[in-house]
Amino acid sequence: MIKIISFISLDNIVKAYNEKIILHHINLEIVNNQFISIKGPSGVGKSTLLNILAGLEKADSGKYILDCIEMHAQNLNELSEIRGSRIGYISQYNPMIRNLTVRENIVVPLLLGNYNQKQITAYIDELSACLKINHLLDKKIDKLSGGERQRVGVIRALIKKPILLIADEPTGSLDDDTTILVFHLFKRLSESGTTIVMATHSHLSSQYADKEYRMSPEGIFLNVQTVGDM
Amino acid sequence: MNTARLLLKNKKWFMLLIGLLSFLFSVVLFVLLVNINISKIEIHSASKLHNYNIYQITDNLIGEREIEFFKDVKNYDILHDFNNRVFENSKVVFYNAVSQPVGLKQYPPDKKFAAYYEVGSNNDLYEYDGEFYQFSKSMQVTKSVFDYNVVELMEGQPFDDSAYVYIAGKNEIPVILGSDYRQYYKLNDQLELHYYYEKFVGRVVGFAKENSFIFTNLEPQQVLNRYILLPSMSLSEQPSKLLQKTEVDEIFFRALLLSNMGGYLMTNLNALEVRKEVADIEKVTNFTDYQIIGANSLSVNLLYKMVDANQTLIYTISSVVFIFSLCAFYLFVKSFIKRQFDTYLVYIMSGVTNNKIKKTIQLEFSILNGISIGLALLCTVLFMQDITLLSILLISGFLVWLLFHVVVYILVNQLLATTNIIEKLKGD
Amino acid sequence: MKNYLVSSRFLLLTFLLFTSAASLLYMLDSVSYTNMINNRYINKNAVEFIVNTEASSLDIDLEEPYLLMQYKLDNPQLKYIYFHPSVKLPPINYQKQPLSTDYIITGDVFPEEALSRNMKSLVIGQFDTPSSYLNREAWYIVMSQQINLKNGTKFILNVESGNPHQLIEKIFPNTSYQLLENEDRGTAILKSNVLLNVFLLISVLFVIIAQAVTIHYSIQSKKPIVQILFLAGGKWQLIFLKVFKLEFIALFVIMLLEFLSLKAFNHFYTIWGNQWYYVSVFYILVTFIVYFLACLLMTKSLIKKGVRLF
Repeated sequence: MIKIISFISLDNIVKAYNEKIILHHINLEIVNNQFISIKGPSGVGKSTLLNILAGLEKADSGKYILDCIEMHAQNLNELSEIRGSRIGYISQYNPMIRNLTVRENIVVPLLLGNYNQKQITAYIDELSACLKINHLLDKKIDKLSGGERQRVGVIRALIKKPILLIADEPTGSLDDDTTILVFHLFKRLSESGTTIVMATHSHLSSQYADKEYRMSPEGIFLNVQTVGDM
Repeated sequence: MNTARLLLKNKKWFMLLIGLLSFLFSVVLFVLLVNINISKIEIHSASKLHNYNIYQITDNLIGEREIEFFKDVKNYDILHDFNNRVFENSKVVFYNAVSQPVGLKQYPPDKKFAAYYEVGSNNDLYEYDGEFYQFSKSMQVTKSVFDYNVVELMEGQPFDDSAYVYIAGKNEIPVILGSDYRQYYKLNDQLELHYYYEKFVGRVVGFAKENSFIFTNLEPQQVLNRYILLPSMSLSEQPSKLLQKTEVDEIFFRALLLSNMGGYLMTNLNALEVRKEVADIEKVTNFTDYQIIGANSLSVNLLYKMVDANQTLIYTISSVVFIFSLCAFYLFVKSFIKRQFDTYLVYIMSGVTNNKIKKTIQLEFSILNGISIGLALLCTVLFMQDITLLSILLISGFLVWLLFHVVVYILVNQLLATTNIIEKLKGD
Repeated sequence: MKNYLVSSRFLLLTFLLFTSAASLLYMLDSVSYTNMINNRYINKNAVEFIVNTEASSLDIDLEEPYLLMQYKLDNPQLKYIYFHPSVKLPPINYQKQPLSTDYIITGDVFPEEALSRNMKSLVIGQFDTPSSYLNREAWYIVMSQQINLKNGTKFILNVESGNPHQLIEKIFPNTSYQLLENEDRGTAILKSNVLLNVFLLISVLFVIIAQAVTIHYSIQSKKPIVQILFLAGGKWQLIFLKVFKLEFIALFVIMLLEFLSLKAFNHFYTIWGNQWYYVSVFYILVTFIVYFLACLLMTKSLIKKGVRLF
């Protein structure tokens, strides 16, 4: 029997803020190239879980292994470096730099390394065409609507071609048609080798995600319906 | 939510900073105003001296001639009469500031008060009538000295008119002390003085402010910090009568009369006219042993030039700094309003009209600037310890407030134009 | 893109504020210098003393900048002057080039008849100080650095900075002297002049606050880029370097430009002691260091706060 080695492994993750436990012994195994969606009521700790997965913060206890790297043993600076090379992050908070164009905002993460300009330009064109904002690339970010800005955030997170994409409510301010565009893109990415973990309230996610988890104060559980869909 | 709460909650550090800038700007302006006023007083005082022709009147009673003159008691009266008439002449101002060391018993332990301290002399102590006195720096001044110099008192009152008159039996003289004396004496203290060979009690009626100075022909700025100021006393009646009435030695009257005579005549008259004027007094009084010389105008010119140059310096520097401060204030308020845009958008979304927001911002700034300007006004008045300018400061404070109000009004209307707000709501 | 990393508005404002601070400090110093000229060229730190000695002459062997005035108690208008070549003399109109031997400078209203015939021949110029007590004086400039006590026992020692009493000990070793508490004259004692200094000091404070606000705004404007780079992942050191390197280089160039212009200005419009120059340089350096530390702190604290901020 072939033993599947998990790409992501969370073992007894605990996280508390101001003595209030947010994550209570979370266990989760995610294999490569999967598109995972997590649902649950607000305040249940979805964002905290995603932040830990993205290496933005550390769990108080428990083990987190990503692609054979013991993430729980790294400090924040090392986690940040790992994020830079492996993880893309789409946050609910979507910081943008005023006075810069959309394209300039997208390439900000590339400041930290050397990249092939031509390939990057082509990739931006491709992604923005997928999300239908290619006509906005040279506009000032100030001129964009909330939904357009959210799509810019998605492209920015993908610009370094991460092997893991963490997306926290990536379609919160999008209409259904645009949400489908984003999920469609995610699906395509997961098929081509990117593992995606997404927190969402969208009812459309179950049509695209390989697995759907439900998160509650008691823990995180696999949604049986989607397992069946698989 | 009331505006005050909004003010505090809403970026209180920014508001504090803007308040501080507004406070400093107001202080700069108030200090500038106070200073222009002070400078005006200084230049006015110096120009009064500068605009006059100054002559020096001195006696010719030297050596034997003096002894001969004062042998006859009637001559005391003649000199007294002459002095009085010169003093009362309406065409000349008699100005006398005579540096005359005075004996001081129970002198302060600091040698700098000694009459000849600056020249390194150590022989300032002497014994008189079994008591030890120190020759101390003293200046006898006429009332005109106070009229023509800016001598402000930090405490006490100037000499009243009776101080300038010696009446029979008077043994108390009011004195004003220089600022350095303040650590040794207080108001109404009584100093034991040995003045023109007589013992007097000097009652402290005031202390001059630090670095007060008066003009004398020798020294354009005679700094009074270490001096005892005594009123230059005229005699209430003829010396012959006073000599009969009192036991005071005639030498006291002689010294007083002679010191009263040597002074400056400040007038608009030319040399010939002033000589004629005094010659008329000479005819009436029969006193001829005097001469009038053109006083050294260089000192007063030097003083005037110095004060004038100082005023130019103040005006130049103040104008530059004022313009700079105003520009800086404008820029910072503009930047502040721009950075507060998100908050304004929240109001808009909460159903507040654009006009209401503009008014709220104006109110915020009006209150903030009002408080800052008020505090600045208070600090300036407390620092200057002077309320004479209060009305000017209040008016200028109001004008600054109005100026700030106009700046904010223009900025608010420019930055929060309806189109701007709508654009922001759409995209930002 | 690079334009965002370097804010020209911030740099321009910083340059203006540096210049404003330096100008205000220069004004403060120049007011002091004007006061010094008007106060017989006696500095506010000067000491006045009378020497009691039997010796007839003394050598001055000092490396520190100084200007020593010597005069007789009964003739304070004629002063013998000894000075270090680096110190600035008051403005003088020279009719002849200064000599390597002793020479005399007189004031406009100094009576030349008060000078001996030999001395008259040494006069080579007048003080160019229209409203100063110097106009009433004559300065006998002594080149030999040897004090002849026959020329007087009263001295006034001017120093550019530091403690003048130590210099007295060096000039007059093992000599008893009586220190006198001196009083200022001239514009320095005018109340408006004293208040002018207060006015300038408040203005300097105003500039410092404006500088703080500018730095604050600049740092605020850099926050989004630090946040984006943090989310994108990378060591904080790298983020810091990428975000601020260009601005620091630009700021450094501005500092150098400022230093050069201050140096040039100081060369052409030098005043006694040049304290304003040193304080300005210090101020600019401190501002740069504060900005550097503030940027470092902002980057570190944003990253330390991490995701809680979002």
